[in-house]
Amino acid sequence: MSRRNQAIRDRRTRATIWVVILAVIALIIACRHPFIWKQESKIAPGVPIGLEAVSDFLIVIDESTFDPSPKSFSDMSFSLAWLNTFQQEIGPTSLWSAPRFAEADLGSTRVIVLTQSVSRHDDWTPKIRGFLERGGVVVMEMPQGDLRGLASPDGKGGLRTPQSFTFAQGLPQDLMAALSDLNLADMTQIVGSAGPLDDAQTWLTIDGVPVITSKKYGAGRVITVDFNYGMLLTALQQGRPLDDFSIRNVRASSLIETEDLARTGDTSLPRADILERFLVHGVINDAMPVVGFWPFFDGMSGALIVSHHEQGAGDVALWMPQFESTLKATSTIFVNAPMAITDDGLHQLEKFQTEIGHAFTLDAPGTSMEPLGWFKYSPVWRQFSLDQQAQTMRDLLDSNAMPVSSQSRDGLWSAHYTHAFQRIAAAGFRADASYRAPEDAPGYAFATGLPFIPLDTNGLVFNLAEYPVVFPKLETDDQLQKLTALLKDSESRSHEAIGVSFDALSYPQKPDFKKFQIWRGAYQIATHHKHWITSILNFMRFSRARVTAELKSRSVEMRVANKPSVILRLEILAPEAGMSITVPKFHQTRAFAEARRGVQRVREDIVLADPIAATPVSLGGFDRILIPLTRGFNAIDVIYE
Amino acid sequence: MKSDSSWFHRFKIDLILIAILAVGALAWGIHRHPFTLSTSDPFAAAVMPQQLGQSSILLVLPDNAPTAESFPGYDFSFAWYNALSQTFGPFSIALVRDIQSAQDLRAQLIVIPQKTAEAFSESQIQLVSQAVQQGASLVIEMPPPEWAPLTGTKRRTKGSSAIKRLTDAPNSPLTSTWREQLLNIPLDTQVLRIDSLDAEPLSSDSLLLEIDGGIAHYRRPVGAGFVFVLAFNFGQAVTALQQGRPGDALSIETEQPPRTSDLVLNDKMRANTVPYVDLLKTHVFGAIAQTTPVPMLWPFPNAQKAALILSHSTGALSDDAFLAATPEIEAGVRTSWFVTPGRISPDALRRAAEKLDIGVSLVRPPVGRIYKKIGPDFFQPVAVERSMAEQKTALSRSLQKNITACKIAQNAWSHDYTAAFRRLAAATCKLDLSYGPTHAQEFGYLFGSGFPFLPIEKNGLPLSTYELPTLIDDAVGLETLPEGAPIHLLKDALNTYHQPVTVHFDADTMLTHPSYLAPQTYADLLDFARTHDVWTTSAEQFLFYFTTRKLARLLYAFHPQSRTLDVDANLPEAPFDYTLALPRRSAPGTLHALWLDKNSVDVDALRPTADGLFLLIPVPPGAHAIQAQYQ
Repeated sequence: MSRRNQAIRDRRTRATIWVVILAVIALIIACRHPFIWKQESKIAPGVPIGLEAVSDFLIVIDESTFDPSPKSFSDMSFSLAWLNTFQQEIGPTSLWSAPRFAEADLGSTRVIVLTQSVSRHDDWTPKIRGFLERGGVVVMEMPQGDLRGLASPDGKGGLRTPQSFTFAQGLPQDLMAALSDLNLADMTQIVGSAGPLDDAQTWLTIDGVPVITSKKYGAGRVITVDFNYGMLLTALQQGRPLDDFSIRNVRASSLIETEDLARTGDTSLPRADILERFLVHGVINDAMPVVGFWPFFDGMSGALIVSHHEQGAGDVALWMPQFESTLKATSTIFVNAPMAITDDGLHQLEKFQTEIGHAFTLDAPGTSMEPLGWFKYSPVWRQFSLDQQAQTMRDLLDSNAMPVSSQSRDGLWSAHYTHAFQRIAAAGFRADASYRAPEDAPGYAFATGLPFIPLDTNGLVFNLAEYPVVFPKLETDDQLQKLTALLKDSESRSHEAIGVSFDALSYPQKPDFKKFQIWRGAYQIATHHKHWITSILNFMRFSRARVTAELKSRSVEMRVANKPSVILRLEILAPEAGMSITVPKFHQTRAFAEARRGVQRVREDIVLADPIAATPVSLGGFDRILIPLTRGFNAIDVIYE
Repeated sequence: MKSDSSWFHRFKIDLILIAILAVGALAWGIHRHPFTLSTSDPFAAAVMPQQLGQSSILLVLPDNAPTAESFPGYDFSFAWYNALSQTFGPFSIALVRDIQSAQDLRAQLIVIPQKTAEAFSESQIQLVSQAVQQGASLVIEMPPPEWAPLTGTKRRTKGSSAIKRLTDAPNSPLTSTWREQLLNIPLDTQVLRIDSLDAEPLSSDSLLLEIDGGIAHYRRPVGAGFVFVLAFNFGQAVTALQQGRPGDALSIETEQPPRTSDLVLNDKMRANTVPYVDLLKTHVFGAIAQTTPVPMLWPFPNAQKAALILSHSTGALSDDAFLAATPEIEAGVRTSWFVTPGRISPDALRRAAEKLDIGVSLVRPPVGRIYKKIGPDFFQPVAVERSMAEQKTALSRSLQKNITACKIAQNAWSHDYTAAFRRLAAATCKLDLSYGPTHAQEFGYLFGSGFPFLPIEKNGLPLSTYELPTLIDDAVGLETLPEGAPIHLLKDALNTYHQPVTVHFDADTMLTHPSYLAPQTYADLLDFARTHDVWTTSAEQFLFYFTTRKLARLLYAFHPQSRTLDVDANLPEAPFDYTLALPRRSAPGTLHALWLDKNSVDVDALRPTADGLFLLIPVPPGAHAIQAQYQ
């Protein structure tokens, strides 16, 4: 072999040796720092919705006016946000599309809400006029044309960018102050008018401009909402993205969290609920007595919706549900996928009646992954998409334990306003608890503690409810004090669902006894303030029962016990035990006297059945009476003297 | 060869680099997984303890005893040593050979265990007889016939180990409830069958205890004194309960590696709320106090009636483990913390030691091994296993303070009955907390008492490590215990049995056996102790009081004519008040008046014990003269 050939061969041999060595080194390094192969999640955009309920209330929308691809947040259609208000405050509510409304008989409806999407339907004017003349109440959001001409201010001032609420008739001063603090500039639009409307009552003003007015029409009443109520409610509850629907990180971090969407500032009061209750129990109740289902089981003052993080620790995380079972309370435990809880652990959770939810990750590296290769050593790891994560959990669970609730780990969110919801909906979840207040400023960051249905950018709804977490962490005395204050307020006035999230590993890993005391104290305080300690699933079931219930009311004047009285006759179907309703304390200048089941007339007077134990409550500053129901059909007469 | 040589020559640089890489990789691998060398634990021998304090109570011990081959063959004399320590505090000891004259028996109460009694000569028995005639009380265990002048038995009697149970306690000083519990005591002992006394029939108030219908314990007046005869081996009964019962070959026969709870005498002791050893002691010594007033130094300071001894292990946690001590530190309570060497940083350890008592958690097979790596930080190719002694030394060095308390991780034990004790003694552990529950559903007085005892070696002598039994251990899973059992145990310890209740909570329990009951039980116990004047303390502090009181001088004399009890006490300096316990009622009468250093003490204001037998008098350290008048 020539020297040259040998040199060539040596070079090849040398190269081969070093390539092999380097390859081995590279493989070792790659296995220690593997490449992450992300899987695309399925998406499910917002979907249309229609509801046929036996109810006094009807919301009307026209989906044909919804822009499927709006350019900015303010171009979205927010009409479906009205559904959140009425399902939350009343329960059963009908939701009709424009064609259904045009053909329908309105005989059984007492209140019609014409959302902004139907504000141009001049052709409905005769029908609305007839409804009003028969004594109905019509709520119109930013009406136009002939509809505006019925009994609304002229609207000649056009659309304006507002600053803040300036007046609310009958709202307690501190609640008014909470509304006044809101900067409305990016959250709604108002309609100005050239002058005041004769014989109308102004209920709410923004920047001094009347934005909710009420005026008699025939035997009925027209309530004009001259601001984009749906937009404001959505911006408060679902959050306000930038105009291009992107979310700006306000915490100098590279990751987007749900708290980046919050726009309420002070979190001590549920401002969205203040506004909703003002509209329903203040403005509409003045036009007709509003009867609504109480949102909490067994007439309790509020709810503490408890969730836990399992954080991949498996059975170690089950000690919190174990304690809750001794209080006959339940909770939701959010579990990572792949699931580390053993069969024995699952059996225990079933015994404790704890709901298993799914703690998902959207894009965060290092979580929900599996190696593609040999055992746990692989240069490539596959990161599960959200639907794959959900599927791995479902594969391990019985059909009756399928997770319906989800939560984003650490509140991490998509950079787009609704992409995360699209994925959660596609993964089949019906409740989500990813929205959470900042850990260092717990409270009603999303202006409510009650669940709401999020809207997609196309104006349609996701088939799920968002349960905001008011306390994403509860480990310090300050946080417990704040919880105590919120529970106290909730017991006396705001009646909220307060979502609390506990890290089940925090105490085991760092056994600071203070954490344990605070955790245990939270249950004691919640019980003391008559709050229902429950899971997302249980609350959702109860809320669903409220929505699918039936409730019709009518007022009649007659003599009871030889006294002139007004009777509010109620026909109610309560599908679950532990349901209650509230009725106004005052009706047509008369005060609540009593509520009885099935009052019957005999000759000139009436025979009275046994009275029902009713309890006065304040709901957002409005005096109401809480009446318990029995499961099934209830005929109740509420007597005002 | 030429070709090979040229190949190596041509690739010399590459081969050198590859060799360097290979050596580096190998060194890294060895550094990560060093060669390990095992180590065995040294053993210590049991020795005769020195007399610590001085008292009018004299325990006479045998000069020597052969090494036992079986449990019944043991010399259990030192069980009396433990019983007297626990009940009276200070007492004097003497060997049989030391009893040469009446001067050597100048005591008010003489205790003679079985082996001692067998070793006494006729002349020594005569000396004892003289002492009793002059007013001393004698407690004698299974006396041989030579003691007949004192015991009243002449007939040749037979020993038997086929014990069924205690059948009656007709004149026991115990309350009726305690008597019933006493009759349930699991017995493992030998009996001297005495069907009747030869000298004279027993008077109606002399029989104290029956076993299987036979005489087991009686009282007999002799001259001015009394003789208390135990016809069963009290020492064996107590040791079998307290130190545990091995197989007859002195080994623990288990398929799994043994744990301390494998030594419990009887399965019913695995979840036991009655301190049977202490009931038996109270019965035996209470009968003496019922006859003649005898003072004792109560086992709790400041006239307190129970102690909650809190102990913890840091377990798998690092410095964060001490977060669990926050409630104790805030309450100003020192508790015991058992630390695994190497897991906690020296700084954290020193900070913790300022407010807590640090002990060592000893990790030995089969639970695990702790190694000490040899070499500079960057390359440590060899690791040497640390013995118990080395683990304790390493932790003491980190702490710059001598550690006295030990606990073997997971209560792992040896197959040999006393081997683990000998290892602990060799590691100079003054105190061990390994006896206690180790399996689900186990809690309470598994070993019949909450008090510490010195374990007895096969040669009958005590080893130097006190064993303090743990009553509650959260590692067994508190949810497997009856609801509220821990708090009931503490309540009973305070209101009924007057016991130290040692509880153990691992800082990492919530990772290993997560249950809300662990922190909740801990909080409930701490809260109850704080609000009910239970002495909450560490094992080290408790042992300090327990052993310091043994250093006291407590001489007493009862004058029958004046019905006066004179007590001369000299109590060592200590940061607490001692508690003197005097019989509330005795044959001469009821405690009527009391003077402490000639100052009258209101008897009605004194705290009584739950059984009503004693009144508790707080006495500060120093020399005191106490006079009690009975009428």
